[in-house]
Amino acid sequence: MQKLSITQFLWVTKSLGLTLKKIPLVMKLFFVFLISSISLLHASGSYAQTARISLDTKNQTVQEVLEQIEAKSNFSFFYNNRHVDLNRKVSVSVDDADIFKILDTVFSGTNVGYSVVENRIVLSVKSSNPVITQKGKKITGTVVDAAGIPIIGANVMVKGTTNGAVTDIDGHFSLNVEKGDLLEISYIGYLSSEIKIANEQSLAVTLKEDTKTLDEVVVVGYGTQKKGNLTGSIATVKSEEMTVAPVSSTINSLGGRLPGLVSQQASGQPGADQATIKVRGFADNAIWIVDGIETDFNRVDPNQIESISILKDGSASIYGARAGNGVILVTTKRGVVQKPTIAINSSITFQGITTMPKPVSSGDYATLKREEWLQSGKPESTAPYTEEQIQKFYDGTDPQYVNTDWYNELIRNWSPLNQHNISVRGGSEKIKYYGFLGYLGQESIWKNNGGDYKRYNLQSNIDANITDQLSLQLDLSFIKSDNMTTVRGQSAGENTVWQDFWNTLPIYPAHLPDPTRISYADGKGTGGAHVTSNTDLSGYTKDEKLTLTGTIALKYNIKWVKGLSAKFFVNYYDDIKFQKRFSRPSSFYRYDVASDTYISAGGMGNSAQLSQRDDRSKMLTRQFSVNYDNTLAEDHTLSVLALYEAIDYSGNWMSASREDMLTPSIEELFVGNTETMKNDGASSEMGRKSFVGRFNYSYKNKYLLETTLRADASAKFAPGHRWGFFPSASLGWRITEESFMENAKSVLDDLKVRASYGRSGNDAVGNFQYLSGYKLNGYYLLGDKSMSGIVTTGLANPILSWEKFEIWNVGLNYSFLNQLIYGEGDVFYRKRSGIPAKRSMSLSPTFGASFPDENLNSMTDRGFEFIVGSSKNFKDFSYNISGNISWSRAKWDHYEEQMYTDPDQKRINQKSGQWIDRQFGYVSDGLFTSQEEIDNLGFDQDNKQNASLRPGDIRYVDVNGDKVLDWKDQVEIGKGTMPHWMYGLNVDLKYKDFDFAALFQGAFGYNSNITLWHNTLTFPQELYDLRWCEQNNVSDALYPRLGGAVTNGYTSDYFYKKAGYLRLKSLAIGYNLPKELCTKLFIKQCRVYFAGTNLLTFDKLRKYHIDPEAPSGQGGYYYPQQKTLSVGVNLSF
Amino acid sequence: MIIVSSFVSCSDVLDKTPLDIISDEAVWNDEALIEAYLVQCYYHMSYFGNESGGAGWQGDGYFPAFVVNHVSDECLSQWRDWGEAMTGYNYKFGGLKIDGGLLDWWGYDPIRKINEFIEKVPESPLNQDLKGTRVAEARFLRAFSYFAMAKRYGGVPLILKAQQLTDPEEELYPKRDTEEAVYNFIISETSEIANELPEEAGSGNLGRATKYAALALKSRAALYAASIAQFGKVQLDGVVGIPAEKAKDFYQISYDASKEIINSGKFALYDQDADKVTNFKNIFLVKNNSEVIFAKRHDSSNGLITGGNGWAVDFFQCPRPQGWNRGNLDGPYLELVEDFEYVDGTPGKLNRSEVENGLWTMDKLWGKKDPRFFATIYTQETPWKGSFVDYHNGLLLPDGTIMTKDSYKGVLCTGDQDLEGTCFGVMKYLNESHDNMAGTDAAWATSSQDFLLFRYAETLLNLAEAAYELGKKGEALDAINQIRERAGIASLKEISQDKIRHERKVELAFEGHRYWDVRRWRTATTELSRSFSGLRYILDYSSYTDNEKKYKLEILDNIDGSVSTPLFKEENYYLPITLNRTSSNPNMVENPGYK
Repeated sequence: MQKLSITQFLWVTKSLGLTLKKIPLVMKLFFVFLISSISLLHASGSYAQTARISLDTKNQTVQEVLEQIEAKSNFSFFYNNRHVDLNRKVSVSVDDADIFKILDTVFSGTNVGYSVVENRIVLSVKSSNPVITQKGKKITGTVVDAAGIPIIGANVMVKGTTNGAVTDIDGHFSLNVEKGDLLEISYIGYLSSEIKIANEQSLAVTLKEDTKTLDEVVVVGYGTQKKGNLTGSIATVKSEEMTVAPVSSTINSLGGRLPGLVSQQASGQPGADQATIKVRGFADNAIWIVDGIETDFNRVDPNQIESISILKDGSASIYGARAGNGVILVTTKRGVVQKPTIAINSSITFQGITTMPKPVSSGDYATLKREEWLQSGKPESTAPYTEEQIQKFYDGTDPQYVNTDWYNELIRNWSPLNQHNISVRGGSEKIKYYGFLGYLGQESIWKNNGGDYKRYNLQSNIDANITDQLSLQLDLSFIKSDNMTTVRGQSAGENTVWQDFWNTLPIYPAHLPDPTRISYADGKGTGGAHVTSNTDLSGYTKDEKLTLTGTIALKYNIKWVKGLSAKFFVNYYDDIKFQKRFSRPSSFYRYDVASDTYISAGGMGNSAQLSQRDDRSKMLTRQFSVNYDNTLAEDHTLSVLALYEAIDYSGNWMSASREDMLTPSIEELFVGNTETMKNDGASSEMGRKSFVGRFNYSYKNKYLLETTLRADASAKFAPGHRWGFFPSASLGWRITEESFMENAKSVLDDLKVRASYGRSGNDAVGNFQYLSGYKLNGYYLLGDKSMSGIVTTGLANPILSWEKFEIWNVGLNYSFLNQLIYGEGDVFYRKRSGIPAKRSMSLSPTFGASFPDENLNSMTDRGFEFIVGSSKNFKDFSYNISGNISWSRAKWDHYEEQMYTDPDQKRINQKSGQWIDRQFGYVSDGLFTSQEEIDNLGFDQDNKQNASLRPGDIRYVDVNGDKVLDWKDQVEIGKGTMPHWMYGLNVDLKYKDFDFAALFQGAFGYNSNITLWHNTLTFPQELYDLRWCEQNNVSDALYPRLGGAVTNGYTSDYFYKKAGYLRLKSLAIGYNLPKELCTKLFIKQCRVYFAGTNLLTFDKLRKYHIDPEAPSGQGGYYYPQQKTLSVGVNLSF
Repeated sequence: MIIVSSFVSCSDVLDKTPLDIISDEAVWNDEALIEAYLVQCYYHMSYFGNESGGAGWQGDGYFPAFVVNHVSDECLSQWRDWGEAMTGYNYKFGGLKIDGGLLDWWGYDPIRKINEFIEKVPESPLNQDLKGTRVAEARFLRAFSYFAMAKRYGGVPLILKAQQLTDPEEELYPKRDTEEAVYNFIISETSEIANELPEEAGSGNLGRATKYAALALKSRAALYAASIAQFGKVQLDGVVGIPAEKAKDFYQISYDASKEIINSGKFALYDQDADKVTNFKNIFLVKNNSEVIFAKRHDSSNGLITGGNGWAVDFFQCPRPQGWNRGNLDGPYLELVEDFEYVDGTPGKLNRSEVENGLWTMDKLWGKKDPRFFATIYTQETPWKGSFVDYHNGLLLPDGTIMTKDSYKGVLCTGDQDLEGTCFGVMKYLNESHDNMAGTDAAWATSSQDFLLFRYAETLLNLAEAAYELGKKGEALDAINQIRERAGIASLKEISQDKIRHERKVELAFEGHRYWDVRRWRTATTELSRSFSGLRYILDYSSYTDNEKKYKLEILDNIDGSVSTPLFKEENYYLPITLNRTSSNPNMVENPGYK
């Protein structure tokens, strides 16, 4: 059988636009999968006629004979082992014979036929040799795959009978049937289809690829594995699922699709909108490995990715010291043997805000300002607005009383995102290639020059067979991204454009009569968001990132030992970042209409400033590995891997800046004042060395064993503390392969139980903590000279090492009735120890230095994931629906902390033995609605005998009954802000040429701090509508009185609310142009689609207009999530 | 080839070194690095910048340099919408609780570094003279650090060496020393190093501690100790409070130290400008003038973003125009304004009902004030950058109504300053020529005025206070009159404790003294637990057109709001040690009253 290197093949996909001709067949061996693409014509070929083979075997199995033929020639066999009895013993003795003669000998007396095309030999069952006498009318048909490629060897059976046939090399079959018979067409790797026979004479059957098939090959650490033989907890996702709806960040297509991933997309900012992804909710981020190299995959275009595998349990241990928080493996597409196929994908997407609070009108603003002033007991005569003025704002007739809707003024409803890419994929036996060029352009929601994100992805993956034994892999990848944003950031929180937005007052006009002057709208020192959201007015930050990656790998199949190969792999990775930050000065004016006077009202800076920074990080990876795969005595399948890996890291940066630019119109350093120039820079280096071993064994594909061992050394740690050993072991039992399950097989297709244990680490701690030294820090003016200071880096810590992880996992895979019901389940427990922590918490605060980090803390994680799905194929219709749910939570096992002496301090602060995400706060009991309630409160709530309390203030509960509200009254009021429960529902439907895909995603089991108002100058409409005021004197108003008691600001369950949501994360409806039309247009395939993301959301924070994925406590105060609508086309030639 | 060469280098993979640090051995064998070490110790004295709460962002370059003013009875913070300023409010309004917060300064980190310096330098290759001076400087910084803690927390553990983890437990987990012991330590240290530090720093070393900086610290610390002994009470076995019988001794020490400074003849009250207002302003603008004993030096390089030595006094305190259309951070209370007497020595207290009836020109209202008033505070019509400060909030129309928005016949109804505050601002330290229009992160921490930590006038005030308590009333009167004479107002005929304190409040306003003074006098529970007022100027339209601007005045009571009136509780005479610290060292007791 054709044996391919582990890196040379992947699933065959029919990803958007890539139509492949292929004949996937079942292979018996692990790590073997093959792809063929030719149009099978006739049983002849020049190679077949010229090749001469000598063979002398006695009583060997058919399989062994075929293997020998392969070894002695360039022939490869393709067959379905359901049809070809490989274990039949034959004897062949030929000398210098052609292949036809040999095959005739081998298969004489059987119903196996063959077709030879070039050096490919397809074995199939002769349809002209029916096993069963057929009755009724004769019907013919063709079975093809979704791309129209004939499927050879598919089973066509009349359901409930033994009457059947097998398709030939052209996918044709003929069978005698009776009207009303139910034909079942099945083929491994495809979903079976049922067709009721009516009056037709011929049938055209299209089988859909079964994405859940057990023989699907899954990328695992340093290799691949058949899905059916996996023993670890590994979730996978394929390209076509990720590209259902255009998204700028690949990461954003993962949430909800896979069990055991906790995701939260907390921003919609172009270039920074990727979701936070936590494998199994682990507190720290997983590592991402793209084509064998640890790197950020956020900027890899989803269209160039073949698959993503997430290693969640001991299966990650093969990555050793970095693997403790899970490993995400990303594999890009590669060439396949086929005619060159050019695929073009193009989409236009419109992005709009899901939900966000909107600012109040000027009338409401003035009302609230006055209300706040008076309610805080300040002198009425200087209250910001009088009643009459407020009325004028509402009336809007007086030109001095402006009402600017800054939301409409600054934010657009829809901003475009363009995504276009072209790829070419093809190859021959000798050389296979894949090339990709992609472009993404994403604009921001700001109406005026608010920045954008552009990305260019280029990839070339080449596989060449230099000789029969030696193959070469050459991969080059280039990613460039340009992200322009405002000088004031746009992400979240303080000192962002969002803060400015909420400080931009509606009482000021957006424009002044003199268009050259900028209207002042306060903006708390910035003039307003109309200035800071506009890069033309306030300047910009440009981030240009270039990532260059190159891989050369050589693989040598050692001829003399069957199944043995050696491989060299070298990768060079270079990441270059360039940042340019230019602040432009601007001045603002207020305008008095009656006197036509401009009043200077400040400015953003008085001179331009420019700073630049160059950053470079490099990584050189070398691997040498030896791999051995073989099946011994039929039943024992072995696979052994030994690998050595060495990685060098280095980096350097340099920055420079100048102020007082001669003119703000030249944005270059040289025009800056030399007296203000600054520069800085530094370098760093690091290294890692590892040995990896893996041993896989399976007995009759029934009993599966995998063990790995990794030894890692990191230069981060002191000599003597560098090496760590990370073993793992996992077992699987495919119960359905047992002979006693034979009878159940018609119902139960697959049942596997598995268990794993693994150790791994996390070395994400600072470098060289084992050395102490000094760094520059501080300065002090002596005389007129600024002197630099130096400060110690702290106490040295020679014993710091990586964190240690142990993870236990038990899982189950099941499938009933040919995937009518299928799924899997996993339960895990993880112990994480040696988390760096400072001993200082238990050191007297008079010591004057803090301990360095030591491996002190430990925590445990536990959780589970379940998937259940159903899929079925009908004649014109197929569906695949699956749902998943997962839960996880972590607990501190030991947390280095002081010896609490006070029982309340211990109750509130002690972390050891507690869930890691508990929120403490006060318990509220609505709002006071009368002075009487305050007078009768019975305890001192504000520490001032309640003198500062008024109706409308929050009423708290004196939990411990000590007649005073103080910190001791805090209790646990909720969980953390990352969800514990995640769930998703995938729906895939296909009807004739239409396809429909929807992904619902949801989360619950977390809290969100509802901060409607961030003490900004203006207010959200929701606060106006929902607040307490004299006219709305209710105890359950959603916001206490403005200007109220200090106690209203306490952390309490008044604002800390349970959150949870379900959202339609993505939806796509596609239509494939009919085959005939495509043929006429000389195109292979054409699909047009409409897609969308975040189109529907059901959640508990709706009334506040806060997105449920918003960062906690930042409602309205961050770049909001976007919903998108796209239209796109996938074309392939 | 690539493969081969890359494997050859594999043995080096783990052979890596940090490229960005200086080794320990290098530091103590290199004169420049030893000097740099001490520079860092100076840098760490963040309270050199008016008690501001930390280095860098939170230091001189930012607004915490002014919070000590806000929590006293001098002013409120007018940046009402600033989160950090709100925190200051809570602290002032009874919000100072066991979890501490504002003004907290726990100095054992810098003290450890100083201790290490004191231990390592004697064995270093520094020349002998320099060793003595540098160690004495370090001891000055350590004494200053202990003083900064003593005035906050009372007694704290005196740690005088860089502790090792192997030290005995009773040293690693020390009890708090008594407040008296800490003051005694500061006094004995300053006495000793006064003999080792140079009399003058010399121009290249300005900014380093000198003999007189040490004596000025001694004068101030002893005065604090004396008043705590006299007015406070001893609690927790002396961990806080000093026995009353020690008061006289401490007054004597303070008196002696002040005397030594005065008798040295090296310092004099600054008196160079004929115009008394200008003269008083210049004390804070003219670098290294005769009055400066010790200053935190500044230059105009941006101290905020680019790590220069500028501070932000102009940007935060200036009247408008200002980059953020703000400035005027400190809003002096009308009560402080009233504390400034008239030139003839009559009290500045306004007759409130008289003030609120009738119309006033600014000259009639303020014209006869102590020149220090104009040098310390700005208000309506104070000249500024070729124009004047305009706080008017409302236009009194001929028909008697008050218009508060837009304009009336071309006259704007409101001025361009902060109209929701007290209508006063702080002039002290302002450099009128500084450009305050720099906005967001662009060069606003660029004030180059030195911050005066010790100036001669304080020495005189310390002397007056100590002398008075020691019964030397004549000497006290003389010291106070030197100050009044320089200020340009009538001398006092007789002296009293109240008059000394009053003079101190006026002379040293907004220099970071007041809050600590009312604490050590134990008068804060009344002085800082009351409501304060501001002023509203309403421009009279008719007088405006008559070219003699007159104002109707309105006194704004409860300017902080009735929800948040200032409240200083008995326990606030000491800051809390905080739960975090006491539970990390159970041998340290919490201060009385904090739960």
